[in-house]
Amino acid sequence: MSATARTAPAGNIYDLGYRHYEGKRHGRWYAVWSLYVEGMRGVWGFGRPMTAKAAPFILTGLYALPALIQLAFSSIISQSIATGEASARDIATYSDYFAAASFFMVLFLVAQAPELVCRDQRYHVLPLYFTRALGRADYAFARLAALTTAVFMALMVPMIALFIGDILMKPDTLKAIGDEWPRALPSIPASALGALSLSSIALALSSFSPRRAYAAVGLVAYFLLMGIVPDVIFQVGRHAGWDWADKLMTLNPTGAISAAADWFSGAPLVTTGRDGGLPATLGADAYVLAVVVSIVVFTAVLLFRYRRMPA
Amino acid sequence: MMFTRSVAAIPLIVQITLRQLLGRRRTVLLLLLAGVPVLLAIVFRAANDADVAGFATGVLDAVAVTLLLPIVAVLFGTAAFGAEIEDGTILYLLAKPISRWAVVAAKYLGAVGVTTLLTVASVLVAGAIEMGPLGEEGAAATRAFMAAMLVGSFGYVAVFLTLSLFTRRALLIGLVYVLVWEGALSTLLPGIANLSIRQFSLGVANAFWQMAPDEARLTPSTALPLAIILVVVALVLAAWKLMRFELPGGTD
Repeated sequence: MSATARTAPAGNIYDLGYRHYEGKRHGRWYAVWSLYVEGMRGVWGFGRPMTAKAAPFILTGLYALPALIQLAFSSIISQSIATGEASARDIATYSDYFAAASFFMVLFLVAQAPELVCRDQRYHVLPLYFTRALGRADYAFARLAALTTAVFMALMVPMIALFIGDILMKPDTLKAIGDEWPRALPSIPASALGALSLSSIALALSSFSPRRAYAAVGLVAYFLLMGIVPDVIFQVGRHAGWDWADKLMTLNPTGAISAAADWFSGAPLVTTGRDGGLPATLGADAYVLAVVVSIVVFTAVLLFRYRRMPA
Repeated sequence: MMFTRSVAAIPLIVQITLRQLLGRRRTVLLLLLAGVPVLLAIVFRAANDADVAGFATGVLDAVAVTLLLPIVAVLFGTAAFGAEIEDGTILYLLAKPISRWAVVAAKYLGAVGVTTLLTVASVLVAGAIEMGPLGEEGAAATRAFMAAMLVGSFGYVAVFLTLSLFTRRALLIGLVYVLVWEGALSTLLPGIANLSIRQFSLGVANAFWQMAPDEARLTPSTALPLAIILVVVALVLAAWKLMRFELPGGTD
């Protein structure tokens, strides 16, 4: 008993007496890092058959498609802007891109977040993780970090395409890089915040089901409901003169993330539009706050779930 | 003899199916989902909002027809056979001297029954709550969307039931179908209306309350026959597949 207590923190390779291990023991943080790397590979389907790569790559491609088209036709677009056939406002910008294409990013999460947390529960491999140096919170954070990194990469693909496209539209390349750089830079923290927010929601909800398909249904229901319900209540409240209903609009994950992107880039919020737009009473900082609060809440839910989960 | 025995077995299989479908944690979640239109109706009532079109598109169409109906139908429709295939208990069902079409009919009745009950009740309660401000036109809209839920339940459940006999990943494929075909493509491409269960159900709803032409694209006289054809084709296909059904992992 005392022997196991003394050796437990040092290593997590159990010597059952059959085969000895003399090599280096990397410890807890190396285990977390390994789980993170393995999770990243899992999200993109590396080391898995081609069918596992289809969903993440196709959905990232669809998400980035408008930006890639704009990149491919950048010379034609710059000509038609110069001749006045197209307006500079028609082309996609860094801060409004997510709002327009977020459907595919939500599908990306619906397809890939259950991949990370459901299989481990369904095939009962969690006890194998938890009996190692890796703690339950370590597991949850490694999974969250893996999904966040993958989503961040997917979010950055169209941003890079827009950046290259905007440079190619200008005659003087070097000067264009200098001009474009300050406008493109805010998309990095905005994408990071969006990726963390989407990933924490998707992982926290997925972790409640060991079946991937049920988790996917739950995610679809959550994202669609949060897209519709706050908006309906806000529209009703606008006619009825309720001044609290505008705050509900921060509950829509994709809407709040795209409004937060406006905060990073300093662009004005769209408060008018075909569907009525965002409430004029809320500033962009309210959405940043809402996104941060949602990250904290859903990460807490995820940790709570793994603390209570029977391994 | 075979025929009467098969018919006599239907009520029992329906009863078993109902027990399989309802005794799960997901039933609680689906009840919560069915509560969303009711919750929104309470909000409309509290605001004393008398905008029938706003209530119909914002709550009954956007939440009930677009979200609640397909999700309830995909879960119950694929689980009716899916759960039995997964557990291997379908063996005991197929080993009985009951015609396969009767098994399909019973499973279908069970799944459609629960789906209809949940979705129609949700619309009925939501419409009843909002009846005060909306008046007679609101009642017509509620009737229309109850009809839409009925037609939609029969259509979706038939498709998903059949799908679950052809693939074990029916729930995921059904979800993708709902999102991509019924959700994105049927709004982008008007030509799909003739092949969309969502449009069938909204088309039938048109008989009770006229909707905007870009919302419900079919007339009731087109939508209802198309929906019936879809259900019949799907169920015949399901019975045909069940007659040739091979149990997974049956070789060892």
